[in-house]
Amino acid sequence: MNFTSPIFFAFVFATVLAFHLSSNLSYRRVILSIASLTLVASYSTTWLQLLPLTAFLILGYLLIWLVSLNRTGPAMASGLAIILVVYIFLKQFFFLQAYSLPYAYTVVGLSYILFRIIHLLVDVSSGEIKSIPGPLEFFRYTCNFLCFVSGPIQTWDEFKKDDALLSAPLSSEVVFGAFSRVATGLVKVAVIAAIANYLYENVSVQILQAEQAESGIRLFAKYSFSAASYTAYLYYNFSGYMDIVLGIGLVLGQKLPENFDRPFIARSFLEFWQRWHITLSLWFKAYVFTPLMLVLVRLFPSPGATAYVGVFCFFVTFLLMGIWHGSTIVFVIYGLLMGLGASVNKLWQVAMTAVLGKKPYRALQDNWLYAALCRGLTFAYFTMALTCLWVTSLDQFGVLAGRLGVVGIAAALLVLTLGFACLFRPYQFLQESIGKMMLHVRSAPVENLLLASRLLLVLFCIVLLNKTPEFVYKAF
Amino acid sequence: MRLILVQTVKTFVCVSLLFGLLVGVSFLVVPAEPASDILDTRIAEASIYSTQTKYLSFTRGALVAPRPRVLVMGASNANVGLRPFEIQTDVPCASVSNLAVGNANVTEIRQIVDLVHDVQSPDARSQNTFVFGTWFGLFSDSRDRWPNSSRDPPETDMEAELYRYGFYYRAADRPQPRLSAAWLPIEGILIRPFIATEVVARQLTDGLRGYFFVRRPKRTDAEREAVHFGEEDRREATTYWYNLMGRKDDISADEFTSLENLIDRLLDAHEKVVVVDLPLPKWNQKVSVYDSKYRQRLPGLLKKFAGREGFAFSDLSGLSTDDDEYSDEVHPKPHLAKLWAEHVGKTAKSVACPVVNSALAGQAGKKQ
Repeated sequence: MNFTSPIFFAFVFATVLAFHLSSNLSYRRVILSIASLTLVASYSTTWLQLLPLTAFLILGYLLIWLVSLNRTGPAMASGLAIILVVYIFLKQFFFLQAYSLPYAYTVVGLSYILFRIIHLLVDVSSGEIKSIPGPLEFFRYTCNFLCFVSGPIQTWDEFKKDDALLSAPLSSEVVFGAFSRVATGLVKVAVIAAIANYLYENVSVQILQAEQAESGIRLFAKYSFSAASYTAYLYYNFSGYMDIVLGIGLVLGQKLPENFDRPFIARSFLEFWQRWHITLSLWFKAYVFTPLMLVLVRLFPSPGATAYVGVFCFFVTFLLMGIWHGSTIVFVIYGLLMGLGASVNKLWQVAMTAVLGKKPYRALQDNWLYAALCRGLTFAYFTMALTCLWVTSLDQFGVLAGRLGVVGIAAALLVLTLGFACLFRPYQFLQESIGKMMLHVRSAPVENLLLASRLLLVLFCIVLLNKTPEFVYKAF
Repeated sequence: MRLILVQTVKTFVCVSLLFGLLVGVSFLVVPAEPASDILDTRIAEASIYSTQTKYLSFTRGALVAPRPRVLVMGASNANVGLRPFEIQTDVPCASVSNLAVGNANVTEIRQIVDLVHDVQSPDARSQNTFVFGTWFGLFSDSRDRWPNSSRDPPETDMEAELYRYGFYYRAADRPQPRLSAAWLPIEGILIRPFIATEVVARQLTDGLRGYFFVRRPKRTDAEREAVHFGEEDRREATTYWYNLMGRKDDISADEFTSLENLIDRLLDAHEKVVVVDLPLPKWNQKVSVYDSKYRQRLPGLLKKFAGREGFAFSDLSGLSTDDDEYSDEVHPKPHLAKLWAEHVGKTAKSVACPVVNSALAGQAGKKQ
């Protein structure tokens, strides 16, 4: 079920109506379970295709139950190893392609189920979670139809809080807020991201197809344009999807965690990841970075080594986060680039603090020109690393990199950095002005007209581009 | 529950109000075009519809009135080579329209025939004469012609246009209208805001699109008459068609059968059909494996329908001797197009105007 299709909205509308037919908590939980089951089933045409996903869920639940009986490090490590091996097998990572199940099956949502299972396994083992969820509760947590495809990754505590408040009544402000958030999400997905995707598809094809391949300055210009438009596409598509999901959550009694916090105002790569796909970053911080850091600091206890241990831990964490995005070898390169970006960023911070001292470095960070350049560089580096997500193979990546050459890549980095540094202020001003304008609108008819105008804008864009926008992160 | 339903209704009312307002504004931004009962897809780009497929979708109401009509079908060479006003002079009994769409294959042509039928009564249909400008390019498989379509069988450009506004839906055998032809004027009004937006957006972004997107240069008739299609152009054109035909060494047998079935269906329904074999420059005939395959199959088709009432064939092969009479690998220069149109006009007249023909023959007999 496509998140921007009329069928999805009919499904959501039916779910919302059924949900509000009764305020009985158990009834509402049943409705949400049915909705989740329906959405999961919609990604397959036969029950057989759902079998691996079902088996993965059952295995996850069994492992959590076993770990709850034996809350020790080795038990947890064994549980983690088993679930990870099965996950890697089902996702068909590039080194496993000779060993696959003999039929096609659905893997949509598998990554996010894995995150939740690992969270439960670790926290049950450490005693953070005292009692394990019941089977239905486990299903509603791991397969919540709003978070199934691509998060946000709710923690067990957040889920339990929401789950207890499902029967709370709605106010007209919350209902309007939900409609408005969904409309904003649709504008992002079906208008801004769709236009960015249209530009990206039409321009990138000219640099990727051998028969139409450009060269020289046109290649460099078109590459930079393709990369920037793909970043815009990815951001607005994903954050728009989050707006839709969070908006629907509001009328279903769920306050799901935010996943984006204006990522492009970030002045460093590390700050960027605190603002982009926040719940994923927090998950990796909790279950990769922090444990790894703890282990390594114990191994290298010297205070002078801590900073460099941090650099290494950032590299590993971001490498894994990058590799998680896909099962082909190109994603290993993406992971390496992410790791490189994070660790170089950390090294820079360590070096600048050592050279300038803490206060002068902080003052430099507050300098508008330095901040603008850092923002630009963060955007440019992330944008160019994302090339791994839009080339179709390692060969294509190599050919493109070869044709651009060191000069072309450096020039693209420079132009994207300076371009973003210059355009950020007007972009921020526009965004803030719209935000302020919306705050002044207090009359209900005007608010409703503005809501309607956003929906009309979506309708126009879908009709004119003649394409129902897909949710890009579904593939990751 | 009540709060959600109230908000839904409020949103729906506001969307309807704003859309109504936009329909009104669209008439100011893009004034209605004068009605005509002759269609020519060549003017599509200059019209408010911008594309041939959109132009056909929303102007075909012009073909409703029952009267003898000659309808030219085919791809861009039928569009450029068989000009309706030139054919018209030889076919006084009927109004001539050109419904050819660039890069069309037989599947797309069949869809256009269905679109025409959708707006016509049985009486109007029986007065149609379809002129099919055939050549190898019509017989590319839809899967090769639209390789990026997410559907199977792929969506043609015509279909994409029909589904865009939701007035048609995809059925097993053909796109099906959701509403009867009587709703066509209302549909035309409802799409006006979209058309107006597209017109304005195109005007605003014309220069930018020209820089970033690859587009064939537009030429005037005088420029097309003067152009010389050189060796390098020929090589590029050969590669282009090799790719468009799916890099195979034959034309699609299914598309050929589809044309036969279409002609059969039209003749069975007492509509008339003229098949025009559109020639290519000699160099292209020589290098194109597709042209030779097409020529192997064409006699079979002609033999099948020879002698059927309402069927005629027009052979244009003797009208040009010089490759320089073509502006590229398929399109005739304006002076050659004129000769093609005259020739086709005479053949079309023989099937489209039988009553007039016999009346004229009668008058001639009286004079003698």
